Amino acid sequence: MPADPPRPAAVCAGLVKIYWTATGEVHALKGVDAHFPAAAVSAVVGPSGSGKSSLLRILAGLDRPTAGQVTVADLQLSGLSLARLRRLRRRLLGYVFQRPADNLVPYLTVAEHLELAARLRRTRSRDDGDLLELLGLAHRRRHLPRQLSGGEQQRLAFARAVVGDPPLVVADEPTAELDSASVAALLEAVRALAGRGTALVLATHDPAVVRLSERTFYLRHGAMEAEATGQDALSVIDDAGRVQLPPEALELFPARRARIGVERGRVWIGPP
Amino acid sequence: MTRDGQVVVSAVGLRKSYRRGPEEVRALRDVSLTLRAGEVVALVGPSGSGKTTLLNVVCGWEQADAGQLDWPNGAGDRTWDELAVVPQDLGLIDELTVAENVALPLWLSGRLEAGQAEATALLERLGLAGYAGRLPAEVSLGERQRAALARAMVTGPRLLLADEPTGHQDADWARAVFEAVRWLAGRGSCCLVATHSQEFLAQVDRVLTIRDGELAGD
Repeated sequence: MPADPPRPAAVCAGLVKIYWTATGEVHALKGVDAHFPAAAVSAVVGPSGSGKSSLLRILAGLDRPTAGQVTVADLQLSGLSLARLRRLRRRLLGYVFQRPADNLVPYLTVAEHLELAARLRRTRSRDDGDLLELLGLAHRRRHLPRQLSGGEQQRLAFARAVVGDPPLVVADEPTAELDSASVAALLEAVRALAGRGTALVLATHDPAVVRLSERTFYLRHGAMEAEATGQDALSVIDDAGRVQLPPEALELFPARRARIGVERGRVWIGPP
Repeated sequence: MTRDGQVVVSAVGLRKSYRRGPEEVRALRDVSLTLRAGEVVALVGPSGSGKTTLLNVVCGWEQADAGQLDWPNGAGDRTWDELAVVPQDLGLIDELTVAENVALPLWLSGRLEAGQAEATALLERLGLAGYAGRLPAEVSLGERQRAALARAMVTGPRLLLADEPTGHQDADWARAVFEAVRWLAGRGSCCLVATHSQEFLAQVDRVLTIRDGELAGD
């Protein structure tokens, strides 16, 4: 019998998020399905306003979907009380913000950040020399955030997020404020962290992040447009059977009508 | 415990400038001061005069361009026992309750049990006992500010630095904050407090005035 495929770190099913603003309803997510693989790096890409941040906040338990389900490490997050969600978040989820300063506490040293994270996760406080070594921060143990470069601050933010090896860490454009040398060092660190068993989901505009990712999710207008494994892009078929055509294919259908047929296990689509 | 009158820190010739657009701001120009155990010292000056920069340089959050800080009795390594800060933005941790934030320095230094009575007494003294189990987002700004003060006081630090600690307090609570600072100094701590409060100024041991980055003594 073939071995079961490894369980995903997180699963989103039919996620809908609607915000009510002064000017009306905003449909940030319109039924998003996604499986985020365990112990791997995934990228979520899409233009501004595509729903990336909404998706990440829901995955991280910082926000709740209007409808749909989120499962992290086989635990259903949707429907939990806020208090229970908070406890679960401490234990299972890490979140890294875009601005390095938002991730860190100004009066705590590097070592104290990890100590605090271990206590929040209720893992036994252990010497995290390995983790600091892995992230190139071993010589910074006693330094405060302000004494670190932006790249070092962001690596510390990831270190703090992965203490205790939670199943899932999400990061919203973590490289956006870094120079290219710092980005390279951060990505090396992110890949090493995934190797320790944590799934990392990164919203990004950065092609370097996409290259590093095992899977890439393409969001547009709050819907999943495509999914890629490595370099190989896959279109997403939603539950109603809809597929989004790439723009160059759309040009073949000026009348926006098509013939579709199924032959020998393949689907063809052509002008009428 | 440091004995009253012992020098906690002396600063000589501190200079610090930074750029704001095309303009160079000289936040500290040749600032020297000595702080001693058991005293409450107010730091006053108009906004932008360098108060916050001076506090940041003393606590090590910013590096001076020139000058020297001397800690004759060892506070240089900046552990929680040596130096505690109430920053203007408070720096409470969102995921921890008020009580957990106050106990954080004890927690991090592995003395939670030994210090628990102290933490409880501080919550009581600063009117936070009823909010101990709430998150920072669930209490008022004034309560958050008092929680940040309690956190800084809980280890009985050799030096307490506080940036406008009565900024969000009504008159009654401002008095309670001042009394708490005075009580801490009575146990041997040195407290340097940036403040605008006239009532506070009337009761401190010394006032240091900073204007355009230059310090004038009392």
